[in-house]
Amino acid sequence: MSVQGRLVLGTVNALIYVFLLAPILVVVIVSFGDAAFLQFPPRRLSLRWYTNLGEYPDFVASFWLSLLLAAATAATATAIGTPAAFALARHRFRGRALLSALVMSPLVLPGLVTGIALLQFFSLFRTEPSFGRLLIGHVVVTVPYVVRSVGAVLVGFDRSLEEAARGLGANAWTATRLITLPLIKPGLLAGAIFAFILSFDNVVVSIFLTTPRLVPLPIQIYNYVESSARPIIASISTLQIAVIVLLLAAAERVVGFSRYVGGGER
Amino acid sequence: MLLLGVYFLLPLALLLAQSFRPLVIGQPAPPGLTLANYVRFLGDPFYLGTLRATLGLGIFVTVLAMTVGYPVAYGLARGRHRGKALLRLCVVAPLLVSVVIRTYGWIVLLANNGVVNQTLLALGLIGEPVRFMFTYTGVTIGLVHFALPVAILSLVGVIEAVDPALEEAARSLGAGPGRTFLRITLPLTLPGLAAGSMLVFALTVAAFVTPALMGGPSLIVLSTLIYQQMTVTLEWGFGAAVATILLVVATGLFLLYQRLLSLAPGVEQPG
Repeated sequence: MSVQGRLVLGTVNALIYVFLLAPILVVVIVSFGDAAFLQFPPRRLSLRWYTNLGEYPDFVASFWLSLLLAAATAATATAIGTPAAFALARHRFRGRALLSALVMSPLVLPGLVTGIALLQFFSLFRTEPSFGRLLIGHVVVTVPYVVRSVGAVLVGFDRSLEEAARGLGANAWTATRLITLPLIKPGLLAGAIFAFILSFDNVVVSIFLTTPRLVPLPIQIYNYVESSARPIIASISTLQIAVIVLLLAAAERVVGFSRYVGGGER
Repeated sequence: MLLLGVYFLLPLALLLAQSFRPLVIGQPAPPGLTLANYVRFLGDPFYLGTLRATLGLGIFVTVLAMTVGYPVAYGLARGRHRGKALLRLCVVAPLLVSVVIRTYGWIVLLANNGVVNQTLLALGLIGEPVRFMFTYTGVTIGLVHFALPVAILSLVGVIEAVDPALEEAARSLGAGPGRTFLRITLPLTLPGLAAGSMLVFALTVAAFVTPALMGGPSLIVLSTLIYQQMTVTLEWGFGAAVATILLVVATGLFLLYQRLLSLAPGVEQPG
């Protein structure tokens, strides 16, 4: 490409990257403002909207609830998704196509539709709405991501390694622990992190399963934004983003995670 | 897996069944199935208007996102510089941040006294604030931003699959950059472009947070209509029918995307 062409393409792309990042950066910057109202750029920097978070107990409760929900979702979805990925990758059985379609279908379906389907379903039971319902909803929409991530590492998996371990006298559990698990760890971790982030960010399923006492953070933010765009939303949002950044940074250190990043809200 | 069956298929089947139930609020519905909910939707100009708004926004946003996404994807596919990993991260970053936070960011930017309007006023480019909030313009901006990372990721693999030697050959035979793009790159990426468009369209028509917070009551689309029916007016049968219509539109296109994908070489599947 000519120098001129490169320059034009570079400038256009720089503008598009600004567009991509602008709404996120603006939230982070506004959160460090000092004014009682939204101010951009902030005239004076302060941590005011972080130190007074305690005055918003509903936000604090939602933050911890979402953290717990995301961790529970990641653990449950990984526990369910991993065996499913193994079954799909290694065995040819009757109903395999059906299982594959079933596992992937929450990916294809708009999350909103899954949300209202669950709302109607749960309303059949007379039990009180609970944490369990939120967890079930989140697991249903995140399992497909775990199956895909684990499935991706299983495609290139050399089974003779397991057989060699067995041949050398390891029992099934030892072979799994020493050979299989370390080899699929990147996929396992990627799947769990996907599940965590999708749960931590989820709106469309949660919004139908919340109760006045159990409001996940994105729903709490949604409710606040709907009434007014106050600076406190910026600081709690920045904390939300910080959790995800820390999680990804930690994962990057354990295994090169960036290769697996990609995905979309459904 | 049983869990998925119980908590996914069963609720879905129930939703479909509900959409064929008679219209009765609060009371146990009389037995029998009916098409009344669908007839009501298709016979009412207001509801048809929401369908039209949804599809119109979907097409417009898809065209914009694919157009804007193409040069970025091209840069990522062809670039050989060291910052490529960082740029890729910038594309993925919005996907990792909750859509409520991204939408809040857009509200801070686009409100009547928001960053964009203040800047334009200060520069003297406009006399009074441009109304972005609760207008098609604002919702379109928000939705393009929502769909752009997926559009870019779907295009990167498509462009990477085109052998750069073909472009170089065209150039060495005397074609300018514009002609090379129109005669070589674009036609070769067209199948992947079409497949990616289906995916982006399906995502856009199903989007909820952006139209709900930026469109408000003046711009109702299918997803916000469903939410209203389920939580405010509590007409679940009708809500279920609208949800089924959305499902057919969005999922039908997603399946078409996968079909096209199997025909187009080199398409990376985001998601």
